[in-house]
Amino acid sequence: MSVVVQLENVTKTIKGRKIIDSLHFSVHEGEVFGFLGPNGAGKTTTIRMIVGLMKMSEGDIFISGHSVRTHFEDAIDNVGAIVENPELYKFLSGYENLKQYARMQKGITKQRLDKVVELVGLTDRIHDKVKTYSLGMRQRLGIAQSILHRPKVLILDEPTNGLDPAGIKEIRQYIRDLAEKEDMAVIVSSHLLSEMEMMCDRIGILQKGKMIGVQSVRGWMEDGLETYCADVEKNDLAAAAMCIKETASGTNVKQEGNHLLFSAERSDIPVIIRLLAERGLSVYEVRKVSKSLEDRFLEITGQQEVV
Amino acid sequence: MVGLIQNEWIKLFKRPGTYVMAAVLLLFITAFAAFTKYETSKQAHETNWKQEVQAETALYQKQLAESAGITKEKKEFIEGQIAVNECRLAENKPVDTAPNMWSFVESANDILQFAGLFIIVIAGGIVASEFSWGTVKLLLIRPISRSKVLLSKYATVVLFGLFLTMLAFLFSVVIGALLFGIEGESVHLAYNGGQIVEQNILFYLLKLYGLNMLDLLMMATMAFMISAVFRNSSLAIGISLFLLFTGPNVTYLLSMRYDWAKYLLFANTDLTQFQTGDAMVEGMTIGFSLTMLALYFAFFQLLAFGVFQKRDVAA
Repeated sequence: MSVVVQLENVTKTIKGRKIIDSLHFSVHEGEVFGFLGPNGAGKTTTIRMIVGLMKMSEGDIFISGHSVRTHFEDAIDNVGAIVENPELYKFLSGYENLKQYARMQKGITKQRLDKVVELVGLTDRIHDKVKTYSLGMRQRLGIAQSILHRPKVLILDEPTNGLDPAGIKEIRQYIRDLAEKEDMAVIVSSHLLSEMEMMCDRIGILQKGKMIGVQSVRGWMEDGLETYCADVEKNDLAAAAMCIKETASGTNVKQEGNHLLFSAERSDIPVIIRLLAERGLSVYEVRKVSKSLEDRFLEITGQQEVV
Repeated sequence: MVGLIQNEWIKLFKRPGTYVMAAVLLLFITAFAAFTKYETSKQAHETNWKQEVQAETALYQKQLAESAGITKEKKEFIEGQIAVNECRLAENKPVDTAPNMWSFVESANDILQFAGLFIIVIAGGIVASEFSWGTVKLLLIRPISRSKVLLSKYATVVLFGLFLTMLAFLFSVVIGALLFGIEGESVHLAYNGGQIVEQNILFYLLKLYGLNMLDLLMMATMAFMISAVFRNSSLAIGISLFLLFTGPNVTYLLSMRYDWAKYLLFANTDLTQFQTGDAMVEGMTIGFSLTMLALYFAFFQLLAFGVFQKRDVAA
């Protein structure tokens, strides 16, 4: 998979304060990359720098190999974007809006225009004024505007903001389709984890302007330590805790009422159970506590800045 | 580039405000025409043109004799007018005493001030409103440099200015023809460096409207600059209109005491001042004014383009 967007050491300083601090990551074609972070973490600023609305203080961004700094026009030619809300000309019809953007780019035929309108399901209302559109329809028109010129990368800032569940599902489906069928790279930002889990392949977590982790969604959910809960006889709690700590991966043992919460690798669980039994401790139950992306997110972001 | 200007033009004419402006302008011209018609119908024109010209010449001669402190330019202008009048009498080239189509077009020229007001409103809003609509974000992420986007907007302002001026001119011609008739024996005589030349009236009027438009475009350029720099249309329109109405008067007051007033923008915007010899500060020439205007123009554009290209688009 080839790299479509490459950020190198991107830093933004405003009045001596580092808003964005040395971001370094890349996005591949056919991939949905999620930008996750609490409000004010710098998601929108980063997106604005990628599309050239803001200038970076240091570093560079390459889109399809073209530098945003030095070859802006070549770079941005491969980008379609909605930055924050899809702001369109309300006094024009949906179709007239699209024609505005078609005139600014080469090679957009009338057929392409009609096809995109059909793709986003606006055929019936496209000749109505945008001011009569619902938020969901505006969002769809925004997407139409961004994919008109068949960009290699699509950037959507909070694409599901303000949409109802049906609208959210619809947008999510568009995004997956564009990545899978058209091999587009898609960058979405959100502060909603559940959202990201469902539509992204990889998620980068941004906090206070720093990228504090990039992980693939599936790997994130399955790899690593899991949390387990052991229901142990009250008098045996201390001894059981000792047992768990002795095993290879057992860590983070916490007592919670009559339960012991601990982290361990799956393969170590039989070992722990055997050990507890050998020592004659009364164990009623050992079960996996499924840990959601949300828990991980809160762990990484340090619990305090909850979304 | 053509596509960009086309885009701007569509955005302009898809909003009802633009039509209201054009309609108000035409309404003003109509009202002015009606008023002129009413005034002239009240007084009968019994005097013949020769008497009027003679009376005018006498007035000019009186002016020349009385005022000692008259400027060289003014004196030249008056002498020119006297020469023109004498030539009219000698060669029997009449001047119309009753208004006709052309004289109406000439006096309707003052209504262009309102066109100026509307051009300022457009110029002040064309960049700033993209920011307030939020559409600037979609506009600037196209494979087009920011300077081209801004240039297309400025070109649209100039085209709109031309459009309004043309509209006002043509409408004045039509309404003048309807109300006052095409008939008119008026010949425009111009005094040019000691010689009297007969000028085509149409050419003379186009020049008059052209000079006025230059004035309006300077104001529009200023509004455009404020719009691009501060991204706030009310600020741009407010400041420009305030200056449009107070600027010339303040500059005039300053010019009576201080010589440096001639470097102010408003001392130079009215280029018709050199035709009548009424230069605001003595010693000003048309060359000087054109240079000053060019400098102001360059300053406004540098500021507009410089800031628009550099600034981050936040919010």
